[in-house]
Amino acid sequence: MIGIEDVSVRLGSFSLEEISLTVGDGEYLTILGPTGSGKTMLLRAIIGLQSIDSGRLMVDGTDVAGLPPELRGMGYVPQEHVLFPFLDVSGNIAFGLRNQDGGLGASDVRKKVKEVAELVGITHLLDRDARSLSGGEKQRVSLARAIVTEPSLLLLDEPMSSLDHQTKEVLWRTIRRIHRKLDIPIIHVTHDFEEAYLLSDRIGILDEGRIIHVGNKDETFYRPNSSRVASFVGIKNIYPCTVKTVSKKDGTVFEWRGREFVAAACKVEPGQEASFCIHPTQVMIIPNDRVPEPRENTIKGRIVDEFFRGPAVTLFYRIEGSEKEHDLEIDISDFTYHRFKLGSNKDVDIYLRKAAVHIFSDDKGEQVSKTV
Amino acid sequence: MGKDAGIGQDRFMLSAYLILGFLTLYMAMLIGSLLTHTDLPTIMGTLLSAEVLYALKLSLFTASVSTALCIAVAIPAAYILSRSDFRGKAFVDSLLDLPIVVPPVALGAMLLLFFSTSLGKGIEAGTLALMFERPGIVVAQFTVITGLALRLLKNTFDLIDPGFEDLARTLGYTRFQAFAHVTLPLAQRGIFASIVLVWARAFGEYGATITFAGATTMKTETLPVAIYLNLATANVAATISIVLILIAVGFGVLACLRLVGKEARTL
Repeated sequence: MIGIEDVSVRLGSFSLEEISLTVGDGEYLTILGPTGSGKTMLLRAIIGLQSIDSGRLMVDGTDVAGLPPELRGMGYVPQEHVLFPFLDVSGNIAFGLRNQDGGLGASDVRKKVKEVAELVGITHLLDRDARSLSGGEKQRVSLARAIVTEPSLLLLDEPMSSLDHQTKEVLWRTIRRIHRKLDIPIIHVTHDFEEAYLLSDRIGILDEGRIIHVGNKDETFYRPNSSRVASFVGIKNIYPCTVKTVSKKDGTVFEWRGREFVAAACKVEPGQEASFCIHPTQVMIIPNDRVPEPRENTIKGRIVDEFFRGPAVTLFYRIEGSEKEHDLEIDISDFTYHRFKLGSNKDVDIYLRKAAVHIFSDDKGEQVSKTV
Repeated sequence: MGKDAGIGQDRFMLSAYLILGFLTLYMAMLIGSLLTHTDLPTIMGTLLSAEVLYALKLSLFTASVSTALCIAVAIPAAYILSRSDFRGKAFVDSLLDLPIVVPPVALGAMLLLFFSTSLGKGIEAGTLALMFERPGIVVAQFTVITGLALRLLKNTFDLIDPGFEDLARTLGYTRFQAFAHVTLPLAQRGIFASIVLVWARAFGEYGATITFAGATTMKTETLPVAIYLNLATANVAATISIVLILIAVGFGVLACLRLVGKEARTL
């Protein structure tokens, strides 16, 4: 179990403020944040390359905050300068083994290098010059080098940020295979939503040096705790509303645009001014050839524009009577778009699924200060 | 307009070629003029004379010792200047750069004055006689070349990303082990180039050496000092022989540096 307890780091005008996180045995935690949010600084503080001003870093009950990086027993995959250019691939992987206490024999080192290379799928690269590898190959070798010493925690610092999508997918599968096989805790920092969603058990959001949200994937992407988090994870459909009634059985009834809508039960109080959000992929289109059932959360309006993103289409939807350019964004598949013959200036009804509508009271995205 | 620009460009390139040609001719004439004062058998004869051989051996020995001492202290000092920030760093950096800009004869005078103080005399008494003695040549060369070595080595370390050392530390290496196993291999070409350049500078050092160690024939007579002594006695053949040795050494140094540069480009 890894515990980051109220860790603060100041470096010039930037600081990490009272970061608290836990990573369970075998858990994959991703820290998602924009460029300059302090992700790399946090990883450097955890591994010991950046001294902390206050707080504790607990590894299996022991505070390692005062230890130098070489004694923390953590593995690190950096974003840049991943391989030592004066060593071949085998030499790079074996680099951490050659300096271990007790000193492994040459045959043991070779055996371990081969085992890890097989796990990462790079046995064919072992004799290659490190400088001749592609970006994806370098990162896989870097991964092998980090895990060969059997670290207590693996830290990944945006290892795929400079790779093309196809190479990223190969590396995602490799990382997932390694995680399942070795069952070690991983902290991975990235700004890539897809990567975070695909790999993580839980996701923390770091913004301006503060953790503003920690939750599982669905909580983070579909039920965020604030407008700031919702906006960060790409939810454009965020609106102020007034809570009317709250019940576990019937959900939360709220008022928006002069009428009532229903959301799943949320932690808000009747009469409270709050905000609700719905992920663009969770808005349902009701085809014109079907008579809409008279049910809650149905809205009439028009598609005013569309944005093709390859296999997906974003529709810009204006609610009937609205004077805005558009009120909602709706993400659908290219297949649905053509199946329902959708397009600009087409009137369609939409339905906000009750379970997909999420209300939150805290609109400031305050820091998650307790250990989560 | 395009045509005019093209003609302008041609004129510029032609002018630059002419200047390059003039400089090459100028240097070739300087070297060629050496052969107009004497002939090859005379040069060969004086090359093998006891005085020139002594000066050559003394220069090779003192330049090698002063370079070894200089590099041994300059590597850790340059590393700290490259990697650390500390109060007064700019002052320390400038102070250590002074030997690059202060004339060597002034450095020699400073050495002479320092070793005339009670502290200097005490150091001499506790170690070796330096003033007007052979060990003084090493001290004079060391004083002149250390600033250059620091500058070259600091640039070398500046170009190595500290991320490599950080990475080594996450793999169980202490700060010193990371320096020894990662930084030094990455810096080896820069260190080699620095050794070659400071050795050449020490080999050709004259001002500080003659001021601090003196110019005694067959005692503190390095090759540059030998040029001065032989010119003073109008021994042109010996002067030319020594100058040719220094030119040959210069070509050797440049060849080494080109080789290092070529290897670095093929990486």
